[in-house]
Amino acid sequence: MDSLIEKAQRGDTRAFEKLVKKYDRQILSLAYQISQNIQDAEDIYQEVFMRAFKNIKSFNKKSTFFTWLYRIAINCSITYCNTRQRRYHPSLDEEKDEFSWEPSDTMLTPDKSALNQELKEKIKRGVNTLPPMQKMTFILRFYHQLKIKEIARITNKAEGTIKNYLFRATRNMQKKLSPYMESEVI
Amino acid sequence: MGKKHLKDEELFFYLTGDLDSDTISGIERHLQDCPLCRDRLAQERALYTTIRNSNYPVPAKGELKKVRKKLKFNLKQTAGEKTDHSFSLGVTLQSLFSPNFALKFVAGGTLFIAGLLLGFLFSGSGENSIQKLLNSNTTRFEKISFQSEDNGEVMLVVEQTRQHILRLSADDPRLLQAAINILKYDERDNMRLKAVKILQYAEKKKAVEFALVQSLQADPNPGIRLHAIQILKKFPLNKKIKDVLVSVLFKDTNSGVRYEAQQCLEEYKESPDFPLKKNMTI
Repeated sequence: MDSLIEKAQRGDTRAFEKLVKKYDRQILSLAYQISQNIQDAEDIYQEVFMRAFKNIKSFNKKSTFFTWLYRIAINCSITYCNTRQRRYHPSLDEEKDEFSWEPSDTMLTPDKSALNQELKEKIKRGVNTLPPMQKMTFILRFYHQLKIKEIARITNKAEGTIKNYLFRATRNMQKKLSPYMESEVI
Repeated sequence: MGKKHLKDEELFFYLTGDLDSDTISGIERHLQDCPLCRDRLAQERALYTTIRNSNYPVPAKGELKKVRKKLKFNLKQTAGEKTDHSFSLGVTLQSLFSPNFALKFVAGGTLFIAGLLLGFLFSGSGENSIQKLLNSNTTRFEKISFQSEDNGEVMLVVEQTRQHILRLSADDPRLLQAAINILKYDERDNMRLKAVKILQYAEKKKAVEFALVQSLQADPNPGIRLHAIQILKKFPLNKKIKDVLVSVLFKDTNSGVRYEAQQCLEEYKESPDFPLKKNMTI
């Protein structure tokens, strides 16, 4: 990994492409989860990796490459969404969304599957209505499985602040999801 | 003495595993003795389980392949700009000291001769470099700007150097490509506005129609969306244009844009060439 970074810093595009392949699925997912639009996600993806390529010489290994890359991705996503504020008008003959769901871990009966689909939609919409930092923290914690410490490093904020955002985000989501909550079976 | 209960945050972060071991031990000791907090934990667990199992969409393999291919192209373009001194037709001082000087001298000489030959056809210097920029898929056109002139020409200025300027007539295909890319990607409203205005001189090609339709669907600036409709009026009606105009008529947030869409649809209806094909009703 270190050798790939060093090669990329010397301008080796093949080494950089190998680095890209390690993380780009996550970066594209993150871009889509923040922008909620495939075209924007693609643009953000290009912007993130082009920026990373152009600035890789300044990567000084004080943080991990992963943290550094995620930081670029978050900054690009927020900047892109703020400046474009794209309103999405789906055309009547729009192609089907190319993004697929990850397969579920559990076997579902048909009615549970339908409920699950509805719930996923509800969660997706709920996440999109969260304030920016709550949304960001929520996505990074629950969809990218990052620890609080890692999120704090990426966003340059204190762990307590991140915990605060995360807790408030889940409380907001609770209000939206209460009719769909799974009951605890004891 | 009142019993102190666990806070909601403590219960939540106990579930997510974001607490240190001492705090976890303290919480577990409390839960053993407090049925109220055990009930509250069950409720928190329901929320946490719901969120954890939600599985947000992730990109399909085809999508990833597509963006990787585009990135590879962009990286090559960028790497090429770093090494072949494409902003100058001559051989620069740096190349004189490079290990591959001989190769670059030959390449530079060839370019120079080609540049002389092409000089009769193209105005301005740095034609190859500008063509590269126009053909690139970069999402940020920081280097290019338009400057309109009184005689109907448009200047395409490479801002980085301010030395490479192309004077093009407004219907030049090179300008058209730059305008389409700027309309799609540039973050500056004034640039996208200039770009959309240039498209009114363009031939009624599919690429232009597509760019205008995209702009109408997604540009955040209502002035630009308005211009897009005014230019689309000149295109022969098809299902795509009709659909997007109908969508704008009902969904656009700007009343001026909605009005313009309505006017455009009305004009289509009145046109003697209006196809009134099957399944096309307004």
